[in-house]
Amino acid sequence: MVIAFVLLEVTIDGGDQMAIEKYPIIWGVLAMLALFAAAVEIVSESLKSIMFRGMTPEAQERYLEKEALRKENQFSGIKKLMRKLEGSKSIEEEGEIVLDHNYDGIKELDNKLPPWWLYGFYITIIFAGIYLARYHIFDGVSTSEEFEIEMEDARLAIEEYKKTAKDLVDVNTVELLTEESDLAAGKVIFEGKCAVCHKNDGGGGIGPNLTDQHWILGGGIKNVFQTISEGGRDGKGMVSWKSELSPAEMAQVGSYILTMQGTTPAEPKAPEGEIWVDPDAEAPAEEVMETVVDSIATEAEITMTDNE
Amino acid sequence: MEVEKFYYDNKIVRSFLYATIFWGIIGMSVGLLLAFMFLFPNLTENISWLSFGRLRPLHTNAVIFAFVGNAIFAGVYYSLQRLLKARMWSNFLSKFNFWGWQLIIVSAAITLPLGYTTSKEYAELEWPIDIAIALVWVAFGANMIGTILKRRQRHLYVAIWFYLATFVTVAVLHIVNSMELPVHALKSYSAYAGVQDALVQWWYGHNAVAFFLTTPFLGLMYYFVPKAANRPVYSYKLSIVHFWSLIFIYIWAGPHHLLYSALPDWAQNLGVAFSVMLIAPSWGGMINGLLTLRGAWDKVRTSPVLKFMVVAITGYGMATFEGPMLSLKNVNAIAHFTDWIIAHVHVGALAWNGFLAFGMIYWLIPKLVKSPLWSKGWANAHFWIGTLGIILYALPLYVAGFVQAFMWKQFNPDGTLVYGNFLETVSEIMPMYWMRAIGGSMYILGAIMLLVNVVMTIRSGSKVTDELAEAAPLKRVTKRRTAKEGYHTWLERRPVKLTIYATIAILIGGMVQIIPSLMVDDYVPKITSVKPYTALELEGRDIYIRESCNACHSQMIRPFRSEVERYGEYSKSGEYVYDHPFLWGSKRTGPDLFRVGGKYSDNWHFNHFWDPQTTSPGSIMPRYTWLIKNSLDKSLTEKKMEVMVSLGVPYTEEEITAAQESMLEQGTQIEENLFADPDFVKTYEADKQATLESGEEFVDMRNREVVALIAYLQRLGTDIKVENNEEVTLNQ
Repeated sequence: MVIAFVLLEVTIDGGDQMAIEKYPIIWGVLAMLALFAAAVEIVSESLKSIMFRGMTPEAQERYLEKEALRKENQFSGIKKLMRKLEGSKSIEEEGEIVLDHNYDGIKELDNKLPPWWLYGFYITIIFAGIYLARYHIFDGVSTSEEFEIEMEDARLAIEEYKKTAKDLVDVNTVELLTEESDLAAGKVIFEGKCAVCHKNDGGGGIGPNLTDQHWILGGGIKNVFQTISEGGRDGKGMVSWKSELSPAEMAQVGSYILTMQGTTPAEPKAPEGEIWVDPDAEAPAEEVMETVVDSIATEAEITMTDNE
Repeated sequence: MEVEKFYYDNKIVRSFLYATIFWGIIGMSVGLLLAFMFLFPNLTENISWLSFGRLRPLHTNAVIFAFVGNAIFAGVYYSLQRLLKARMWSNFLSKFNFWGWQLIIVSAAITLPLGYTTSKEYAELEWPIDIAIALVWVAFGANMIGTILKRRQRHLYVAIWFYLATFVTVAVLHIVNSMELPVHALKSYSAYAGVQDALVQWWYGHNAVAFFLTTPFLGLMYYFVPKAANRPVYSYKLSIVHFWSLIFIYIWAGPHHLLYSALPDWAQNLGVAFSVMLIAPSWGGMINGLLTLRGAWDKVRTSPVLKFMVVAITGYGMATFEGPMLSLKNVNAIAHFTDWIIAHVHVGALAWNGFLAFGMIYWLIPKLVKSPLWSKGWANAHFWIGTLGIILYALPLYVAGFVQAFMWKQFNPDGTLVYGNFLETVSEIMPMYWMRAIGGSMYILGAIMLLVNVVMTIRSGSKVTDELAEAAPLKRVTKRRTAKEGYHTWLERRPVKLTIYATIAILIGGMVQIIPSLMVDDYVPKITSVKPYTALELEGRDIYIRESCNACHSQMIRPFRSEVERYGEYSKSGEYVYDHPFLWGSKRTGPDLFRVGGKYSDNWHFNHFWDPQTTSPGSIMPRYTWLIKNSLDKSLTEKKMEVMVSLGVPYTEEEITAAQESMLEQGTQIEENLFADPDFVKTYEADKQATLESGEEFVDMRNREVVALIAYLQRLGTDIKVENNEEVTLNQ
């Protein structure tokens, strides 16, 4: 069976797949072969038993003896190898190797080191030598290089993905969403993650009031998106959410937040930051771009640029 | 030949055995309580001395040093006398050993819940107790060596080689790792900082496993297994080879606890290489134990003692194969910081140490009280329920560790983490924590059955008395008799030489790894922007240590994309130079905190300490309300800074004199920040009003513990500013 399997794998070119995956029919072929092999076994066994019954008692006895001998010698090579690897004297021969030690009645045998154990030990020593040599004599990759490689691979993969992916938003392309479904999704996210600090109605707690016109880091969907993504002021503001929320989700929750403008929460927190006027009219994209880059560099400047 | 009569000291063995059972059940019960805290985080709400962080070191110390420690003493005191045909050298030292050790355990059980801890794992006890441990340990060693010197058996049996190596190595490990400068009677700072401290600690931690949980128990195995099975030890040669290779190689493997950390690569790689070589020496012990049972397997079926021993040795084999596998860097990258490690150590502790100790107890107690075991059926039931308990404990945690590590590393195609919220990875494995608690309960139930069985046996037996024995004293050996003696046989009747050689064997590895870290100047590359903690941050750090935050939170971001994405820039060795002690942690039940500084607002931290579930729904962190109520003890701040100066932290004279002022200033700033939350203002003012009305003294928020801890957390990982290149390019 195994031979058949290997033969089929080798002869049938499955490309980079295993042949067996590419042509499921091979399963059928193998099953047929198995059935056939089983049939041959059954036939030969029943033949043997018929012939056995036809023999004289003496012949039967002789036959049984021979069979027993054959069984004993079966796999004798493997058995010999096993014994060799164990390297131990059998219990019957133990008397020959008892040492004249007697520690509170405990005796010790003089079995030699089990060869499988000894060779295993040698192999690990060789492994250790090669391992150290690889890193410290030859140019094995250090942990920091390993990290650089991992990051570079990831960067390329992400770039590749972004080339083809649809519906990607970032701070430059994000737009206010008005679809009912998007806002509903935004509401769920808001209540799950944001309400802890901003309250369910946006009235503010740890975080600022989101219903008034005052913004610490600028209003409008682009600034709100940026704040959600990158987080607020260092040590004072909120955490960055980009590792937990996808850009699409940030756009949804950002849009939902902006629907709160002008509502009256139960316990509104006093306004923080400055009144934000949409600068889109006089200074479009450029202005926003600048604030974005700034907000990463330093926090102090953000508030200033944002509120210009 | 003159035959001498003498008495084996059985009473001391009995004392240690009872202590083993008593502390075993206590230590395991504390563990079980901790397991349930994963499920009900606020089980011991508002009781600071029963909080998770404070009980975790109590559990590990109780199980390792109280349960296993007493079992070692019991087994050694029993077997040593018989293997040497001599009573213990000094009754006084035996008693001193016993009562000293129990006193140490009691003082640990008091100080750890009160928050007196050095934070170094399995070495949490403060300096006066460290000194007591050293004294008692030396008493034990002196007693053992004294007995060896007046022995009536010429050659030392393999068990005694292991006992000697244990004594010497534990002494060295304990003394070197406990180097610390006291601030007051129950507070000290580690003499080493950052990377050095981590290296010394894990050289100690790893070899505490090797020389406290392994070598003495191998010694016990070499005595109790052949005795209980009445079979000769399988191979004398194997004993020799695996003994020397084991003690020599084990010592080198410590750095495998610090793979991918800020430890230099060469030390990490040495740790890996030697860990792999450790498989065969460890398995040598397992083979010799299991093959000693050749021809006694029919007895194993009927004897609970042998059953316990077989599972113990098998567990030892599994754990010592898994250990080297976990040391391979790619496996370690997955398993480290997860519950996989908890599963691994519990296979060792519950199977190897626990079951061998149980087997020994079931064998010894009937001998001591001269009466058969009260119930063999109960012992068999204990065996099965215990075995099932181990399986039910370990398997779910293997799954938990694997699942959680996998979730930590999952990325979306756009480069964001699939499970960006750490809590998602915790909620996922809650069912595993349930199963673990059930498995642990079963194991303890078994231990209680043992207790009942032992008590009943003692009641039906007779009083434990010292046992009469007789043997001829040693005569000088003649040249003729030793003419054909092999080298090792010669060594076996030279206890002092054997001890010295063993000491050399265990010193080499540690010296090669540790001395460069202390001598080489650029071992840790300097980062000029890294400055010492402010006075308030230092106080906050001490609270972090007191509450053992490091039991659940690491401070070591490994250089993996998944960790850099989640936590921030990976940790550099130069960032830890003022960390006496280091606080890298070894388990992430919660997220890494190394770059938590500046991530959240002060208000967030405040609310989170008050009730973690409000800011992080589903969190399994307990409430730390006492931090918010307690006023900060600032009376020792200057002293602490001075101690730091003697350890090489460059605080100036002025900084120390201005400590109070600077703490008040930084505390006031944080208090102001907290006022940003109207809810805080409301409750704070109300609390103030109530306190003043009741005539008590009101402590301003700026002078409370939580403010210091927030100051420390906000400082963490902020000394180096990392440019976020990826974002900048994205937006250009």
